[in-house]
Amino acid sequence: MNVVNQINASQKSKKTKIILIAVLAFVVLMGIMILPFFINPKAFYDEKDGKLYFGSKELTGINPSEFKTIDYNVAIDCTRVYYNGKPVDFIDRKTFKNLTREFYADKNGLYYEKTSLYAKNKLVPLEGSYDKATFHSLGYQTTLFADKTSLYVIDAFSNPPLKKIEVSGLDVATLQSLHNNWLKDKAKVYFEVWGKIKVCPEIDAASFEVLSYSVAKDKNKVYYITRNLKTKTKDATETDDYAVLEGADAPTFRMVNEKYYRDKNQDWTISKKGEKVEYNAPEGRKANTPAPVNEANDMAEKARQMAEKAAGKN
Amino acid sequence: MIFRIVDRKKFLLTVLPILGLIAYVVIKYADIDWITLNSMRTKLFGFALLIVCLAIITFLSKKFGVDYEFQINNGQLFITKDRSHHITLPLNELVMLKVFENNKIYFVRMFDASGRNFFTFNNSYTQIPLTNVISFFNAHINLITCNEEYPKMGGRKVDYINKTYL
Repeated sequence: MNVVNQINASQKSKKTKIILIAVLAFVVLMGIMILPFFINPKAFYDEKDGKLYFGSKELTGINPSEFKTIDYNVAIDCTRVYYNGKPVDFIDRKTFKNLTREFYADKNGLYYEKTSLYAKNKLVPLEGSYDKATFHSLGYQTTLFADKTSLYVIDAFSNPPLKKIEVSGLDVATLQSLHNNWLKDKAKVYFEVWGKIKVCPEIDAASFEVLSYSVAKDKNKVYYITRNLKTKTKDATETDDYAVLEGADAPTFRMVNEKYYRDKNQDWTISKKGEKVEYNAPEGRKANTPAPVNEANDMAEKARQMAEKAAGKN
Repeated sequence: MIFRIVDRKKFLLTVLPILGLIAYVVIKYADIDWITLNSMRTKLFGFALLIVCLAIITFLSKKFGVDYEFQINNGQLFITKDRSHHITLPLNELVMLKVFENNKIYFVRMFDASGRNFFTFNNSYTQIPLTNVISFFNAHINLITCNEEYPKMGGRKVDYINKTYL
């Protein structure tokens, strides 16, 4: 082999070297990404040998048995509220409560964890025209809050984070969160999705009751949440919405468990696609076939009908 | 013929520790929560840090350039680094110039008779056309164009081989 061929051959073998360099570059890149965790690890509240720490800093003058963490950065003892291991003097400990993640309240108003690109995060009072004395959560299953006159939603990613929701005719004084998306006041039922509320004029508020996460009813009709649930007449939706469960007898409709329901005419299986559904129809009720709600159940139903036909032939 | 080329070793040994120190001080003492609060943000921060570092490296690299001068006397190729001796090679032992050219920027690798890549240079900081470089060598040895190809990513690769070795 002459020297020219030798050089060309050695250049081809350099591809391996290039791959190694690329792998090394990738490792360096990954290293740079996780470097901050090693240089300045996230600090947590911790108790070691009867002493309290926030990160590596020891918290003195606190009785560990009275100390309780509320969130990553927020903690309380009998007398004070702490943020990042430092006492927060402007919050009243006696009336302090956690509303939802990163949002807190005491008798003087609301507080939230304000994040910043260029400075450390802070716990600061939440400005707004809300009534501090009557401000309260509508329940653990919702992000809605109310005072004596208005309804609010807290959105940590918007500025300001407290937004007033205007719904005509809504009576805040009697408003209650029933379950997940459903709200009710003295006259109407409302459907809420991430702070957006629509009135449900067709639903009778007086007789409305939520049966489960997916199903509710009033004296006239049965309703189901259409997210990822389809029937023969209606497609599933990607976001939360509701529809009437056609053919269901509302007065006698009741829940057997989260997936199975029964009315005077038939048994119902309501479950999301992919969920395992096993059900044995009660004796004497086979004529009233269950009406599956989702596609998987449609197939199960067809299989059951074919089996029955085959059994009849024999 | 003088080419200004980055002295990588000197450059990396100077710039990288400075950048590393700056990054360390920012992460450790600015103590901004979001850097260490959330892994996705940290990754984005890492990317941003890398891009800033690369931008600074690119900006400063010209400052760390070293002048390499090519001279041919009595059948010898002399390469000086900042006017002091760097490489001497009998011109008849110059086997090949492997050139990659794209948008008037070119990289040249020079090989000797033992198949060693003894010097590499480019015209990133020096406005000398490739034809001048080839003419410079062609005045003393006969270079033949071989193995010309156009890579998929663009540009042109070509070998200029000393006719003696063909």
